[in-house]
Amino acid sequence: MVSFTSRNFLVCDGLTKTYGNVDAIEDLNFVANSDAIGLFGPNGSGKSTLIKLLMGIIHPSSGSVKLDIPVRDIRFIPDFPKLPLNLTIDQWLTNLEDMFGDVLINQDIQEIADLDSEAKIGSLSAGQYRLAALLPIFHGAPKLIVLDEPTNFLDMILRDKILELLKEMVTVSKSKVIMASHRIDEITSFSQSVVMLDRGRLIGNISLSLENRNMYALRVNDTIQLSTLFDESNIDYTLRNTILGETFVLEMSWVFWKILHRFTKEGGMIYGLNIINEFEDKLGELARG
Amino acid sequence: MARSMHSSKFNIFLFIERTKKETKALNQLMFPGYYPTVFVVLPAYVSLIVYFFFRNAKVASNAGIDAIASYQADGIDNFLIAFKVTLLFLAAFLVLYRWSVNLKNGNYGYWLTLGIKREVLYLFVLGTLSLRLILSFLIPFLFLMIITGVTLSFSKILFLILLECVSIVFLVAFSLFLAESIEISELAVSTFVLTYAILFIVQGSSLLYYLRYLPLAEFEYNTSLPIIPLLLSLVGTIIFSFAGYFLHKRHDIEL
Repeated sequence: MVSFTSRNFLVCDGLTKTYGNVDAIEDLNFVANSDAIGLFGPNGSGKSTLIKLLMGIIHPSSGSVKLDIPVRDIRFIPDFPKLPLNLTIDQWLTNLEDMFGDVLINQDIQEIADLDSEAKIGSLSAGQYRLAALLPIFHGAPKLIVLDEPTNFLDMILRDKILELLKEMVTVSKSKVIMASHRIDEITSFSQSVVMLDRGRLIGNISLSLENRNMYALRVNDTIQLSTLFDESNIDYTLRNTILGETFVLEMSWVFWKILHRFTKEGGMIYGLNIINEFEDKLGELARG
Repeated sequence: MARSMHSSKFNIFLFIERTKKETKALNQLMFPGYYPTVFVVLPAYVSLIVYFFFRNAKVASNAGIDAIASYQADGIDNFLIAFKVTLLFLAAFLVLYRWSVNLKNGNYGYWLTLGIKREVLYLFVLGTLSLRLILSFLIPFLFLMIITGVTLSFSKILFLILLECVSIVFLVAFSLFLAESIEISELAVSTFVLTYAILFIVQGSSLLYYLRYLPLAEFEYNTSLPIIPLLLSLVGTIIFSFAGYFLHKRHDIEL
């Protein structure tokens, strides 16, 4: 039995959701380990299904999902929300104020989003519609904001503006965040931990804190020569085939720098040396299939 | 201590404040645009038209008092049948079909994402639809009772109103139950219409008779009140309301 703390506000225990013979979510077991969780995975990995399950919109076939925040204090923006098309932006905003209260941050969201007050929601373009769908987040003080592909249909400039507003809102309201996205930059900038899914299965529940960043990825022009040098010095490493070519993955040490120095002195070239963490590591695994 | 005693009392203003989201969701999902007017005006309008233009025969000016009373009761019977038919139409298309489609087209799902409580909304839908239809029955019915001069004891009128109100709630609860239990909306509507069509066609026991419409003449000439049909309708209403409520709690809503 897991007791909730402010951190593990979300607990999945053997969670499975089946549609006919297809497992959309399969035996998911994890405990949220941060206040800002990213859900990451390719199309059809079960991100949206997981969100619907935790919001209680659909029910699990077996197992359970527990969310320690009342439904009333959650704002969830789905990937394709069905807004009331007959309302104008003004009427929609009045409804939101009635339901949740005033806008919490000191910004004119409507002006930033350039939404015409008299325009009916049904007549908005895809981008404007998306902005209208994001409006509920900024009203009142939600305890949890759940976003499913929040910047779909937004152009790059507006996307950056909206992400800044979202960050401000999260800071001011001190709300927890769950964000599902395909975009690595959105996930890494919003999340403290990432739940990675692939075909309904959990492939990682990874913290993005700097403490975990102790592994390095190294790409060079002559992998055979460097492998020999590493082997001679008994340095543990793994050699992986990534989309960028063969990459050494290893931990940092004093000997490592000495060998690197020797390698470059003998004419070797370093193409890239990056600090990596478990998330990027898993991403590499995903990319390799 | 004082604070806890105060908070345990039901506060209507607090209730309204806390159910604002559900009220807005209900209005958007079930009563968009002109729908509220349709719910109250249409049954009353149709049944009054039927009452005034489809009377069977003129009563001779020298007819006895019993004949006049019977003629007036027949007129109100016509009104009640017309009301029930309009009610069935509304229940089939504007309650059952609309609710069934809302569960699947993402409209209702969207309101769930805004943090409404689905159990509260279900009870709101059941209650509000029933109240609107009861209102559309009461106003023309009482109006007709007064202008036609049908004389019934107060207890009989109250009983008659109670029976019709229960039958209206039964109809709404039954249609919501069908919307929850049959996935294909068209099939759910067909089942509902067919059930009541059979009820209207079959000349059966008195219970079926009461479910079909209210026989005013019986109230006028019988001394006893038909308690059994009322109790059965009441039990049916409770069963379908709870069944629909629990089905709704477990229902996967589309988003």
